[in-house]
Amino acid sequence: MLESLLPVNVLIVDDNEAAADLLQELLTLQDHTARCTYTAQQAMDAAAEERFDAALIDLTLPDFPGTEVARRLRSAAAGRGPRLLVAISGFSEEEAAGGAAAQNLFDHHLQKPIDMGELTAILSGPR
Amino acid sequence: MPIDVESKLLIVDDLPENLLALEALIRGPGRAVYRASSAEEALALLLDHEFALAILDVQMPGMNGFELAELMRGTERTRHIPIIFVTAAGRDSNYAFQGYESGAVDFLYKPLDPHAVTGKVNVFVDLHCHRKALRHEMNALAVANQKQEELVQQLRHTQGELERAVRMRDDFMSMVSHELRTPLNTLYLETQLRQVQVSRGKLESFAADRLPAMIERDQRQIRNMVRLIDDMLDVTRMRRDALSIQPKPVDLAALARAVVEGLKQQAEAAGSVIALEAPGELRGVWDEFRIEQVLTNLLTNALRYGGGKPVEMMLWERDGTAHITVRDQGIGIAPEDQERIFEQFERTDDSRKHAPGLGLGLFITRKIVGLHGGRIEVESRPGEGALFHVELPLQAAAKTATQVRA
Repeated sequence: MLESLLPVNVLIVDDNEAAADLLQELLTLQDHTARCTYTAQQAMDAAAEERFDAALIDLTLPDFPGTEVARRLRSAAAGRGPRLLVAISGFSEEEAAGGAAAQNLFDHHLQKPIDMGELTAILSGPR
Repeated sequence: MPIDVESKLLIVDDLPENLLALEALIRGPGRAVYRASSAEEALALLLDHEFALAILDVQMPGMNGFELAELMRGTERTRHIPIIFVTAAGRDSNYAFQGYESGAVDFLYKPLDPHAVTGKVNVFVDLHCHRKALRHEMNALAVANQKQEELVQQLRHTQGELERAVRMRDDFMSMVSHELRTPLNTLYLETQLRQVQVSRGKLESFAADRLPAMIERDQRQIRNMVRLIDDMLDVTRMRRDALSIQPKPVDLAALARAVVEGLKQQAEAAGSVIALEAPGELRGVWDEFRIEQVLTNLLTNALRYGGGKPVEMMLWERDGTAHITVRDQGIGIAPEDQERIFEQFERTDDSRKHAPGLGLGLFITRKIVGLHGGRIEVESRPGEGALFHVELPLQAAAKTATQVRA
């Protein structure tokens, strides 16, 4: 999990601030860059200001669902949005709210607790 | 069920000696012979009894045997009773009896041949017994069918309930594991981060001034998980009515001070502070562990939903009752939610946004307070915080969960 390949700029959205901060620190240690947001609105604002290669989106957010964040990132940005959308949830992909809709919106689903090896593999996957 | 196969036989003749002679011929075990000396008498008996067979003398003063038979055929109740006419051979054959189609009809000729009499009577009595047995069996079958139908209904109902219970258990398991994964995630990320730091020799991350915060973060996640598991087990116990209290002398004031002290760091992390106003001591007989759980639940909720503003706990005693209030200045609870929040798995939409949880804390809290013979109430308005008020009798009457079931 130490090998960092091409550095990517990652948008993190998780209302669990401690978890979001830790993810940011871990990604930074792998020579990636990452920005933490704790609500869907903050994430949308960040995406409007900055270009991200990937977004890690918690499905349960206080203001609106993670699937909605993904939908907006996919549609609004028209090619300018993150290449890679990763759902993060305490539920498995099958149990997660949104079901099939979420599967189409996201490239990957990570169930908590997040294994950095898995996340690294996703981030360094085929471009 | 024993079958009543007694066969009642009606004999009608105006001459008593004929009645006696006929009765002597036809009586037997399982048979009851009724004698009528006129058609009118016979009609009265027909009203009261269900006969297997009627033997009618044709020649009678007043209403004769044929007329009586026609009356019998005209009434539903007696229409199907087999009839044997007793007649002088050749004498009454010109009478056109109108009623053959309704039921069996036979003739005996005078002078009576005992073999012919017993033979015919036996045939009709046997027929009657068979029919009665058949009817009995059909009734039994109908009863059995109905019982079976009821049983099937019951089974369907039970199946529905079981399916619902299994679904609820599945949902519960899914919810518990989801809730456990949140603190587990933080903890796991923390260990993965330290692993990287150690492997890169970045030991400054473990400097003395950074350790307390690190430990507090970890402990918070662990406390969350322990609380989730405890709540889950308590709810399971409540379902089995196995949650009980063991009251012993306790100083509530000292207990409250200890709980507040224990939550100090958690309060700091929430940007809040807990102010406790309590007498030097407040002694009563309660289950210390369970009351500690009540205080912790109420204070933890106040910190979670208190919006970082100060939380206030007050304790006092009046007229043999201990009072505990916990007040926060947070998001508050809408009036329509104020009863619901005490039910299991119920969470308001607002609370869901603010903190993870199973929605069991207040359910368990109310149960414990109830087990102590006390009560809990909430006063709140949205946006204006919430005040939870617990009343506990100083002497808790030990009750089982069944007795306080709402």
